Formats: sequence, structure tokens, C-alpha cells
Amino acid sequence: MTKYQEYLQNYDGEPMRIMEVCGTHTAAISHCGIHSILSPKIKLISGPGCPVCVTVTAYIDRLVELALTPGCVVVSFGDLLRVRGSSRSLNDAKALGGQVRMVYTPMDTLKLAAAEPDKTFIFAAVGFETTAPVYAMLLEEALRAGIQNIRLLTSLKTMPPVIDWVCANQGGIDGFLAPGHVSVITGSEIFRPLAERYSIPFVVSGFEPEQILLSLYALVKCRGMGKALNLYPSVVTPGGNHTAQQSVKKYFMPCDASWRGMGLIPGSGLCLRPEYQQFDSGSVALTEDHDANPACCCAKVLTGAIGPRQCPLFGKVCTPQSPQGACMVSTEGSCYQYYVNKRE
Amino acid sequence: MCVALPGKVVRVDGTKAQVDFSGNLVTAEAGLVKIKPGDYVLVHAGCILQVLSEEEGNSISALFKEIESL
Ligand code: SF4
Repeated sequence: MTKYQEYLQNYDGEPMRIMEVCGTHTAAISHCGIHSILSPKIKLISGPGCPVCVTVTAYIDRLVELALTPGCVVVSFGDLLRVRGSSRSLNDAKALGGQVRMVYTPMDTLKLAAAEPDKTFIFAAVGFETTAPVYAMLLEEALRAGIQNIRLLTSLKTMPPVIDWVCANQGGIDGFLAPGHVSVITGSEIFRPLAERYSIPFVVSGFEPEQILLSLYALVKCRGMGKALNLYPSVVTPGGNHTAQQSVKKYFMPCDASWRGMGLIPGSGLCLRPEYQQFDSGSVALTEDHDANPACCCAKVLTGAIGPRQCPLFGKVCTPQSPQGACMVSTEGSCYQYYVNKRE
Repeated sequence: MCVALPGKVVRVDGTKAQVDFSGNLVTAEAGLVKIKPGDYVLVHAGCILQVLSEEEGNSISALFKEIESL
């Protein structure tokens, strides 16, 4: 390992800007300080891979509205509760008497819904390719068990289109640390067309510090080459998890999706198929987006245009205790990670 | 939110499994992959996404030979 570490420390070739797309990688890198041992010629940039951070205002507003509707209960992962829409978060809705339940897995919605059949339970279905199969499973099980009071408010997104957007609209990235757990489902080959189109290496990486270092080494070595490498073969295969892909396909289809900071990206989302519309809770056309604090630069942070510390509010007005944008709320958000780990 | 953790399957019950995360037993959905007790699996949001394979070592060292020669 030291050999790779040394190489990365002493690297003196062409400057390398590497984007870690996934929020879990941002968290792992910030936590173990990998960025601080790299040569100044290698710069790590955080990307748009925190599902909560890229969720637009209109989606949060719709969740708040549902939570405050009599007879409705919003069910969510904890990350989303503190994110503010145009004026309120789900936590605010709760304080106003709205119904919000936090769960560890979407599957818990089945028990909740079965216990209170007179209420409608709406799961806040955010996430990427990794989480989509879990929502498919929830619907499968609800249909099997005849549970009729479950709905989804979807804001599901897919990685290749947004990476494509970053390459085409922003550029300046010399390598991608491809999202490991997304790749478990999609397979590592999904990144090959992008690698070849832009002549940029993609390396699918695990999350341990040694795995990340190896992947960075591979990216630097492959600079300028359109290669897609899988350095997480213990769980990632070239083709991914076929069963999971099929179950996602059964319930969902590609759609255009709005991303914070990037606007509408064609084909970058997943929505319920027409034959399963009975499960939808009004997810269509939730595109409007604006930052809760007008000075918040989340939009630029998410695309790697600026680093979190370049936001004038960072650490002054905006801290994890009083977050001004989603990137400081989510524990996978770049601003949160840079703040708690003092990452430069 | 794409966090996934490895654990060991201790029991399989139809489409569900008991997974041991360093002493904590958790029930997880097992519909997406074929599993058996003793398997190490990757769990995300209460759902088993994949079985950890033992091939890793070999395939990484092969890839690295290729990278080194660049
Ligand atoms: S530091 Fe806060 S205000 Fe600035 S971009 Fe990040 S979340 Fe937004």
C-alpha cells in the first residue's frame, strides 16, 4: 500500500482533478483525511451524489403539504427531515401537527400501513440506482399482501446522465471515482460509454481508505484514457445485479428529472410506470427550485464548480447546527463533510 | 444515503434473512440475490444487494498488472 500512497503523495505530473461522485465517498475521504495526503497536483472534488442534496425545493414542499394533509402520513429516511423547502422542512411540518415517521428501511412502511388502514402512508422515495430496487420491492410486497394505503412520492435519479451533464456542461474533470454501491446494481460497464466519449478514466471503488487510495492511483495512471475499471469486484460485477434491474424496470421507467443546481436533465430520473400510477402521490412536474437562503451556493458546490469553503456563508452563517442549504444538512453533503472534518 | 454495510447471514426465512453486523442481528430482505447461511452480504436500506465474492484478490492483482504497465 505504501507504494501507492507514496506515488500519490509525490506525484508531479499533469494536474489531476478527480471527482468523487458519491456522497458516501465524500464522507469516507473527508473522514479519513485522504485529500490531505495527496500531492498538490491531485485535487479531489465532491460531486452530485448525495440524493438529499440534489432534491429540489418543489419536492420538499410537496412532502410538507402531504404531511399536513389530514389522513396522510409521510414516511422517510432521517436524512430528509431537516431539509427546508421554500419555507418549511418535514420537521417543521411535524411541529405544526403534520404526520411524519422516520424509518430505517422503506419496507417498514408495510407494517405501518397495515396497522392503520384508514390512513395513507406516503414514502419519500429519494435515491439513486442503489435504492430504487428497495422501492420496487416495497411495491411488490404491498401488492402481494393486498395493502392498498401505500404511495410513493418519487424523486429517483440515475448517475450516468448527471455525470454526462457535468462533463458536457462543466468539464475540467480528469477522472471519476465512480459510485460503488450504485455500481453494485448497475454494473461497472455502465460507465464505459462515458469514459470513452470523454476520454476520462472511471474507476469503481470501494469505501475503505486502502480501496480509495488504490482507485485514485489507478485514475492518475490512466489519465487521458477512456477506461472503465472495476476495483470493487467483491460486490460489483460488469453487468450488476440483474434481478434488481428487472424489478426496477417492472415498476419504474426513465423520465426527465430536476436536479438542484443543474436544472432538468433529460432521462436522468425514474418514475412509476403508467400501470402503477395508483401508487403515485403527485410526483410529476415537481421541478421548481430555489435555495432557502439566496446566498447559498449549494448549486455550484454540487457540480464541483466551487468547493464548499468558497461559499461566503460556510462556517459563518451556515453550520450543521443552522444549515442554510441541503449540502450542510445531509451527513453525506459536501458542506457538512468539509465542515465536520475541517477538510480544505 | 447509498451507504451499504457488510454482514453475515445467519438464517434464511423465505424472502427474509437474519444478518449479523458484528453482533447485532438485523432482519433484511433477501429477494434480490440467492443467499445461504454463512454468506457475507452487502445490505442497503434493509435489503441485501449482493453476496461478497472471494474472487476479489485475484481480479484486482490482475488489473494492477495492467495498470502498472501503463
Ligand atoms: S455552506 Fe451552506 S449556504 Fe453555503 S453552499 Fe453549503 S449548504 Fe449552502
